[in-house]
Amino acid sequence: MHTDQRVALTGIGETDVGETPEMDSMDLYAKACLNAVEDAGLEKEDIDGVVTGYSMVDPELMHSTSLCDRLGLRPSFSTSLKVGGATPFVGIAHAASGIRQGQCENVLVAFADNRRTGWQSSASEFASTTGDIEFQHTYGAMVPSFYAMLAQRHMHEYGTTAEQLAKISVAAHNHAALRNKGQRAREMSVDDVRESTMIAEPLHKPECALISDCGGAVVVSGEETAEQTDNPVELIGYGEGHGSRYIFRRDDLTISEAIQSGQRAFSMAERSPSDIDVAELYDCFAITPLITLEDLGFCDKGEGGTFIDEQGIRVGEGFPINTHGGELAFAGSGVFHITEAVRQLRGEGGATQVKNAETALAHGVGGVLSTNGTLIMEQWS
Amino acid sequence: MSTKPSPIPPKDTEWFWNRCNDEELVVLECDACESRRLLPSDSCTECWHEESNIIVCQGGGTIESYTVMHYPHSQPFEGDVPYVIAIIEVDEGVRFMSNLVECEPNTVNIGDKVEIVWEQRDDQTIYQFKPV
Repeated sequence: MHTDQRVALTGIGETDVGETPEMDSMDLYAKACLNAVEDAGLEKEDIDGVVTGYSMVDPELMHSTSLCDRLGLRPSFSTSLKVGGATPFVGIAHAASGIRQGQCENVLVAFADNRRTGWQSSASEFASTTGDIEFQHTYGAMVPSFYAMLAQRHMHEYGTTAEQLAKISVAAHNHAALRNKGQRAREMSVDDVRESTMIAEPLHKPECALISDCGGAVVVSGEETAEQTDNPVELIGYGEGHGSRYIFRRDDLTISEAIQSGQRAFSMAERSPSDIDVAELYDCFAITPLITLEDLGFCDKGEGGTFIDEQGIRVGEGFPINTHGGELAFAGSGVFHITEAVRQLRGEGGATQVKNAETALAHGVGGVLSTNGTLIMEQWS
Repeated sequence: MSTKPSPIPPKDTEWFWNRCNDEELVVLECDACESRRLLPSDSCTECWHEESNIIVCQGGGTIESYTVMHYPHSQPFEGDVPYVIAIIEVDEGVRFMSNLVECEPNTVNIGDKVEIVWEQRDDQTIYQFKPV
């Protein structure tokens, strides 16, 4: 069931990414928002909704309210969401719902943080901010450990190889290098990846997300506004899928609730995986896009590695993913998967533009595949 | 000198860690649907029934997955690198995360059998597993 009322992403905004010590988390949020509204060709007065996330450096109890104070906004629709890396994806779905209910017309959805600068003082800040104190930290386990164990199981069950995993990192770095933009915008070969520092077997450093100072935002608008802006991209479907916070509560370590979020999004969009021309798949670790390629239906379960080998995931190959470089090479936030999808459909992808990109999918993940948000977008017509 | 983290249980899991101090690893089994869980919620996570029984695990298990850490969680783990983290399914059907101790990291395989060992961490006895 879905409404006929159309919604669009009318503006995108990004900050500089990498190391921006002069900007704190809220500065990055605000800057990304200003950029997004300007990109939409809208004015401050047009914005009547705000959906933000959180900060792992400067936590705020009422995050969206604080951002609204910074931007001088008094919206009719305001909230901050906390579903890990899936936050901006779920945030856009939330904004679309608010617009369709008539609560608002133009919603800023933003995510930013200054973890690179903010965590420099203590390496263990990173370790201590995610995962469970009692059952996980006691054993020296942290986020890379969890995803590494997903990768190990996938390799054990399906014969996925280290080389196939490395190709995800290679593609991301290739895309960032082609654009000459991003925190780790340099070419890497499979051998380069496999000879890099090992973090948690089988994940090497280039197969783990960047830790960045960065911010991104989009404006989600109703149909009336979308028709008046220069470059709207239609949001034709969205869906969520949620599982356990704890990796040890998953019965099957090789699947995720991206199965459900994808089914829900495709159903709303009345599309199927074969309609997707380009996919921006959350890549906190190289195993994540491999699993979600399967779970979203682009290939069968267990065939992700073969898909990568046979189709190719680089621009110019069978099924390009993460055309901006993702979290592995551009910057450590999923919000850029969303801005890149918009860019691709506008034909503004530059050096990594996928030819004839008409329909795009962006997928976000939080926790340990714990939260999933799938967005399907199409050129506005 | 910093030490490895010890579980600082909130009120609702104190009883679980107190049993660990007696070298007993326990799980809860629902009185109604018989599903078993680690997380000590008052109600069954499957059927919401509020009565459960405590099952004491016998100590045997299987490796569901593992990783070898080449990067320490924090300073107290630096000396252990490379160290093994594993997801163990005990014979009673519930999964735990722990280290694999008393083994060479490169000899570990998914599917290997393990047994419980107890480690003293400050005032708390914690479970670990080792290959058999």
